[in-house]
Amino acid sequence: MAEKNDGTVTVEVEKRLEDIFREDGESFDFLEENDDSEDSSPVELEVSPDFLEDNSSLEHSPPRELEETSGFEEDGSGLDQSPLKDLKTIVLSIDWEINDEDMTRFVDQVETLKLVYEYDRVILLFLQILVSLGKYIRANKGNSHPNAIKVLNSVYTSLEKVLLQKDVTAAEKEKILLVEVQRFKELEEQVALKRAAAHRKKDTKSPQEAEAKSKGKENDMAPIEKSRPPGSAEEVVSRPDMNRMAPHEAFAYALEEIKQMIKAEFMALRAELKLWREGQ
Amino acid sequence: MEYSLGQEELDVIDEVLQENLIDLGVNCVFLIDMAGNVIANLDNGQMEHDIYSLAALAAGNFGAVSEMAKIIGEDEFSLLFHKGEKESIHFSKVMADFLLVTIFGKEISLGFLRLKVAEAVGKIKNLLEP
Amino acid sequence: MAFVNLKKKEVQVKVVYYGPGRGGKTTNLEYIYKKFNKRIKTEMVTIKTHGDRTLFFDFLPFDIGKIKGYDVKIQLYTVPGQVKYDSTRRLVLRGVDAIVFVADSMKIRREKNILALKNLQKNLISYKKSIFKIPLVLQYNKRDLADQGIPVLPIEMLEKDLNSQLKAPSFEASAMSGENVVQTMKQIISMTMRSLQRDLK
Repeated sequence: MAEKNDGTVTVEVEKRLEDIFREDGESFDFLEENDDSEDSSPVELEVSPDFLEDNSSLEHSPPRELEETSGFEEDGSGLDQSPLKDLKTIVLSIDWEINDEDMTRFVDQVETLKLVYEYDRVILLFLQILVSLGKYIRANKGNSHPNAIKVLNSVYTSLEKVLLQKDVTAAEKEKILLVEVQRFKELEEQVALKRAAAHRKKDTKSPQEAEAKSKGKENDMAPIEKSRPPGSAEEVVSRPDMNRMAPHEAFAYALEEIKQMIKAEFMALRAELKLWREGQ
Repeated sequence: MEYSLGQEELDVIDEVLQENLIDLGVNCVFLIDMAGNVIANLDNGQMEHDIYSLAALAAGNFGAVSEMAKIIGEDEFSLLFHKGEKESIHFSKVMADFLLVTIFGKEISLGFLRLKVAEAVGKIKNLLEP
Repeated sequence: MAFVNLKKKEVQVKVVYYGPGRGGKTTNLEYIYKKFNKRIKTEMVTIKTHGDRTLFFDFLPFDIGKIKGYDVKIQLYTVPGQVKYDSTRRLVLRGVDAIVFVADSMKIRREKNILALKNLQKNLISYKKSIFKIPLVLQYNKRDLADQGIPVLPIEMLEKDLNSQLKAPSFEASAMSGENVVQTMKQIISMTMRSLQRDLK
């Protein structure tokens, strides 16, 4: 029986190959297309120009260029003297790998910088946003919203610009800050949406568990709602207004908002951690 | 080492790759063996790459790089990643015999992608390990 | 062992063309590709140096359609023949199901043929495969050189050097003109499928 099967397969294969690779007698000048002329000399190890070692070019290898996509400042000299130098190293390494150690170093470094810049409100706010992002990513790692790391990079880039570029006025600094605040707020919304979607997914998977959890969930969400400033319902509407405010007015408003937001963010983080621990 | 993957296991692998990577925004992901055979392959619906050639080259590439690592006295490199202008490609070993290859655009940071890949690899390992 | 995907109902078969450098391995694939690519709708991948020497491998995949309900995908590979590429050859051999050994009929390549065959045996052993068990076909390439007055090895000598123990099917060929290129390929695929059928039982 086995042999019969063997035979059938072989026959089928051979027939198939015959069909596919029948040589029809179509004229086909394969020979002419190949210029290779056989030589009778022994095979030499041919080396193409690419493989020739050009030692002179190796001596002065240029310093590694910063990746364009991160949009990092390429003003090397300013950075060397700046307190941002260590933070930059960490941010670059986070771009390549996110782990507990580096995220902790990041948060610690930003906290240290907060002491250095405690009298500069704009810088301080940048740093507060960075701490918030750092702690969020550290706590959530792979479950972080994918945009979190992008916003972190963006905020850092703007911070670098504000600190190191010589020709930036105070008003411009505030403007740059506002842009980052906006990004941060959008991220916060995205994170909230993601959380809501995740909870909904858990609900559909197990309705009984969902009922028990839903009460708990509401409690967890509540603190975030309460801590928002009374005008928060108008937040969505007020954003366009901010653009029409004078920079210093908008700045003061944003300052207040950020303070509230960061407070809320910490509470949300704690709530998430609690949920995660419960889930373990 | 011989592996036998049935429909159920392959379905789970598809699910893992979809949830951890494609849903994240990765353009294309494929799981291959070290000989370049395609075990699973998913994309975002817009990819028209020649998966079989990519797989053969990926396996060859990874193999070549592994040999280089040995020559310089390393067991293996922890990162094999090629950065392109629009798309980049990341390789991750899955146990000794498989390779997870991910193609992604500029919107995803490498650091974050590596986290998600590690998660996916962990889940696939649990499935493949006897 | 060929790769069988039960979910997709696919069988992937890896055939490696092995042999000394400049023996005609790449030319075999190029002939098949140029002649049949419209029919088999495929692309050939080559990784080579500027001097047209295979650097890593050449790769020509194609489907031969459904056999017993399974889509059979054939993958033809060549290895770089130069001595310095032994690691690469070993890499390319990983997971191989069948071999076409392309010997160079030129008289001056006699030694190189023998060394390449021994090298194949050694590299197969590193994957716990035996040159005596794996489906294998010998191709004595460049027979057409005799017409150009270039000294070629007699078939008896080639058989004695390379095939006295293996007793594998052999073909006289000219990869440049295409003579017996397709026949070699058909033979190895047929042998492999037969072997696969046995292994699956």
